[in-house]
Amino acid sequence: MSKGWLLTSRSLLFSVVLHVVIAAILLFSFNFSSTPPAPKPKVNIVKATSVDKEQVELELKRLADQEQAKKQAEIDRQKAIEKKAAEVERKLKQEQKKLAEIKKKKEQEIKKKKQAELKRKQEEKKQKELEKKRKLELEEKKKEEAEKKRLAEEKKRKEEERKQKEAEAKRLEEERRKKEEAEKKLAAEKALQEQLEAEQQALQEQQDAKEIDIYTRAISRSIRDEFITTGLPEGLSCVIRIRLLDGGKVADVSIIESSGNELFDKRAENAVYSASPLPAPDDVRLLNKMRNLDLFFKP
Amino acid sequence: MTAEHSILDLILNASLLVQLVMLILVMASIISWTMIFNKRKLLKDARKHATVFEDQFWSVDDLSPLYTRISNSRYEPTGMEKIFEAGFKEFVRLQKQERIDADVILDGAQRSMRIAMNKEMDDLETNLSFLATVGSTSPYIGLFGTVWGIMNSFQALGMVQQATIAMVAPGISEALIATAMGLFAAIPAVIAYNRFSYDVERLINRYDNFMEEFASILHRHAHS
Repeated sequence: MSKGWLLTSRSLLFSVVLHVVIAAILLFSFNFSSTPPAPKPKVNIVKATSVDKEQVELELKRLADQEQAKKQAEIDRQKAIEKKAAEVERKLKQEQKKLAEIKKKKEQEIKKKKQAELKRKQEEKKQKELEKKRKLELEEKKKEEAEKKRLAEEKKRKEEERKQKEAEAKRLEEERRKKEEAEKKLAAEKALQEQLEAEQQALQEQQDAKEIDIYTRAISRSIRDEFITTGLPEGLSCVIRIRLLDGGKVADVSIIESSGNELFDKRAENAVYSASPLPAPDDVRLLNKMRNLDLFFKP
Repeated sequence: MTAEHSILDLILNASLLVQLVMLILVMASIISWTMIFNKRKLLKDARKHATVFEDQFWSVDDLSPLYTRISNSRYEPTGMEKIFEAGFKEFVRLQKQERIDADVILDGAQRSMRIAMNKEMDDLETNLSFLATVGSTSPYIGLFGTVWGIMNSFQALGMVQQATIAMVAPGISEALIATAMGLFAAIPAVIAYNRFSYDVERLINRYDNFMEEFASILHRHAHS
């Protein structure tokens, strides 16, 4: 255990040292890279030295003298400059005169040129007008021809259109006729089919009636089997309405025409119930026809 | 706002929560590095011991002197030695008893070796889960600090009329340090975790092989 602790504490030390080193490196490098050295503010430094008064006065005088001399020199220089300037101005005037003359000449030349140009232009204008007239005439001619052509074409086109219309009308007529024929045919077929169907239905009904009759007889028989005759006079009969469910089960029984004997009626009803399920067709279509079965019952 | 944004300034200026996050991350990093050093040493030692012991084991003809030396040694046996000791002890103990089937003896020895190996495995794998946890969660912790810092800086931004990038940038930079720290803690932890779990698995394989070989030797002894 102590060995383990020693190892752990040594590792901890390593780890802490590692982190400190990394942190130091990071801090150092980040500072180094991210903060550019701030520009140093410029300061006017006042240089001051102490001197005694006499020297100052002397110095002042010297300075004043220097100033005077400088002023004199400046005035001389200015005078010289003025002289030069006057001369330059004179020369400039002469030059200007020359320039004005040259200008005049040039203007005259330009005038001449302009006149020549004007003439040329007028001539050109005339020519252009002539050309225009010629062109106009030509165009008119062309237009007329085009108009003629167009009219001819229009006529042709109209003719064609008329023909087309006639053909169309013929076609329509034909179509109408065909349609009528087809309709007639269809009606005939329909009638035939209807007749056929009616016949078939009649046949079916006949067959159904036969089958229902068979079933009704079977039902009567099974009811008769359940009917108890003891103690009843003979020759009695009644009509029973039976509501059938799928598979021949009896849903409801009622006596429509009584036999006159209450016991007979009651026993008949009971017999129907106890005969359930009654023989009934599996075919649902047939069964639907005899859902409400009126049965004449005579034991 | 001063122009200086050194890392230290950013950390010191951060909000309390972000500072807390950073502290947690630094602690996690220190602990995980401690474990990395620790584990590395342990695994290295275990590998070395295994090699030495295998050499000894295969070079001797009779195993009982080896057993006495190991069990009388000053150091506590580790790794393969421990497995060997447990197996041999059980084998001898069962063999001393009369009327015991050879297969039963072998079964007992093998069982005790398996138990010893499981204990060793447990020792080797301790703390590895901590590395995994640091590796997977510290980026999220860092991210949390960053999100919090950015939230604060945007909140402050919302209160002013005219926003400039200069107002948010320091806050975001400050917040991002938390993420950087999280990654800094996570990356070594993940690498170390993968490395160590691979090493441990290999070592265990070695132990397993040794155990099988030793069992076959015992089998020979028991049936002779």
